[in-house]
Amino acid sequence: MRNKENFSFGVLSWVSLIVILSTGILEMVSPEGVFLSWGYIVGVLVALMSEKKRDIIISVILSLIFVSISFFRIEDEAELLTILITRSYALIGLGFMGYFVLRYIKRELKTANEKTLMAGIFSHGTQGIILTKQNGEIVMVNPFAEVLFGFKANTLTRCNINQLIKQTTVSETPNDLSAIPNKFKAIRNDGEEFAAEISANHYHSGGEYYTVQFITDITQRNADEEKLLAQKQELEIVNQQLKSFSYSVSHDLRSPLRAVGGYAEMLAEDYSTRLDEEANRLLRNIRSNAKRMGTLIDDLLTFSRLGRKEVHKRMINMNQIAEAALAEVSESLTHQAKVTIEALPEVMADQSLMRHVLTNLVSNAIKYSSKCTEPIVKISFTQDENDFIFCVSDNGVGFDMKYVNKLFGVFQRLHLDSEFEGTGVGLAIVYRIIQKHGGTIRAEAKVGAGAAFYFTLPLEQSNSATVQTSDSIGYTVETTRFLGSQKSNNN
Amino acid sequence: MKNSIVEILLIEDNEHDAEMTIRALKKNRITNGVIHLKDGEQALHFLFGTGEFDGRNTNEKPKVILLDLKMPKVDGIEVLQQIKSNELTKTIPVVVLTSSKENPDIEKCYALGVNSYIVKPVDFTGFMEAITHSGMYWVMLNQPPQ
Repeated sequence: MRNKENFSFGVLSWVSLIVILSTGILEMVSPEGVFLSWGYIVGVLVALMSEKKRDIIISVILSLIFVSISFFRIEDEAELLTILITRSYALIGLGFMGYFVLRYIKRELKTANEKTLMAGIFSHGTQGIILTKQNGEIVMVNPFAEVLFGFKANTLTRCNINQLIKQTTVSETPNDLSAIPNKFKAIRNDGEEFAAEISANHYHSGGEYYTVQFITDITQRNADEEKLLAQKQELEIVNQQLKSFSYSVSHDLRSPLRAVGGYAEMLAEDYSTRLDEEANRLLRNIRSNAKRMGTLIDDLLTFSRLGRKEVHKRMINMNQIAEAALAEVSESLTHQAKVTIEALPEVMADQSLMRHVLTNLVSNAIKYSSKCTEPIVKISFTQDENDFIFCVSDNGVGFDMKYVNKLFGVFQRLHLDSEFEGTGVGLAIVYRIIQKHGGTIRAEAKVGAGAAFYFTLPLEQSNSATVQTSDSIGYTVETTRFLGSQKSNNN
Repeated sequence: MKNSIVEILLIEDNEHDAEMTIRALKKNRITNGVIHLKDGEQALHFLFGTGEFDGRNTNEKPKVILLDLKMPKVDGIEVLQQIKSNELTKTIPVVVLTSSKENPDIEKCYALGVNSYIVKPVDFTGFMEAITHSGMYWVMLNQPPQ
């Protein structure tokens, strides 16, 4: 019986809360009941503190279910079952409470941590940050702003932003502020001005408009910019001087040179019969040197002009270019040469510049093979994954690979003028043109065994992964010509 | 001035170039009526009958004017401009002879109405050929307006 009373008391102690809630009359209060009822209230409060609506709703619904079910169980007097059920409900309720409390604590800790981190950004930022009200009154500054202006934070917060920055960055209407940095003159505590770049943004909080200003000292940057600008102007002047130099070379040197050559020529025309052999030899030397100097000047000017020329790329047929180059070379050909042109692809390049390249390489090949009994020149082509590779080769005198690095320099020659005429500008021009096309050029040679010049043009620019060779547009696969003679052979 | 008809008016400040030009013309039997003037100012006086050429019959027009561009005082461009903007002289063919391939003035000359633009070859033979061809063409072949 006693056990049963204890049991009933236990039951009542659990359900007392329910009786209070349903009837409004306090029948019995037990410590556990009080604990639990307050527990639920705390649980609900915690849930209320939560920013998530879902938590509040879950908490309230659970409490209501709990209360009503417990009430009905008692009416049925299924005491034992009721106790078990209410106990378990209570435990579930406690579980939820614990969950909410823990989550609340965790969230608070996380927020606190984030706040610390954010405060760290503010206090360790390497830009001056100043928060002002709409009227420019300074509310808050970060340590870097103190460094920037040389005032302590408590001094700054008694100032208006207009006292620090010459042209105000605070606008009448907060919406027209720009986040794009603008340049201003700022004033340090010693009265010295410094160039500042300021970007500002604004927000609304607690019925007040705030403007946050990010300030950078750009004194050094300005100095650097000025230095760069000065250097740029200097370069422009030098470039201009270079242009007028080449104009002057072209114009002013040509006239006296023509006069030297011209008078020597006139002398030869009018008086050669009255001059002895030696005098005539000297005169010939004057004439040939004047002529050579004319060629040098012209080549140098071509080099400088092609260097300045813009590259106009379009799809060009390299076979047609090679044919044109051959025609140009054969005009001034004095000996016979066999020239073979393989099927070449279409490439993205500047037509006149490419023609210049091929004309130059082919005329070199013919020139340096002129002393062979059977000069053979070949224009061939391969490709790798990145480039078209063109090759112009001959079976001529070649050169010592020891001097290959001198090959593409201006006025650099590997042969005596008495052996092979030339100014040493041609390959320098070729090098420059290929470079401007994003390609490379190299040479392979052996003394007495010919030379081969390989130049590349980037594949991607010709935007075709598959090579479209010229034979697809009606060209024979390979053409062989005998320049300098009537013989012509296509195979 | 003499009464002989002026066939070629050579406006050239460089006496050596002028000598070579005249030599080339002479070789082609164009000897009479070649007038050489040494700068642009003198050329304008000649063409418009002013200054030292006051009273010259300006209706006697040369068959062609060979004009150098780079000259002291009044340069070739200005001479060209004055020739082509004056009713009296604008029908006279003008051949510009210049030393420079690099000359940026070529477009300007054509815009002003030049009839021909020749870059003087630096070698003597080429120079002689250029003068001969242009001289023969303008003096012998070309039919000027009546």
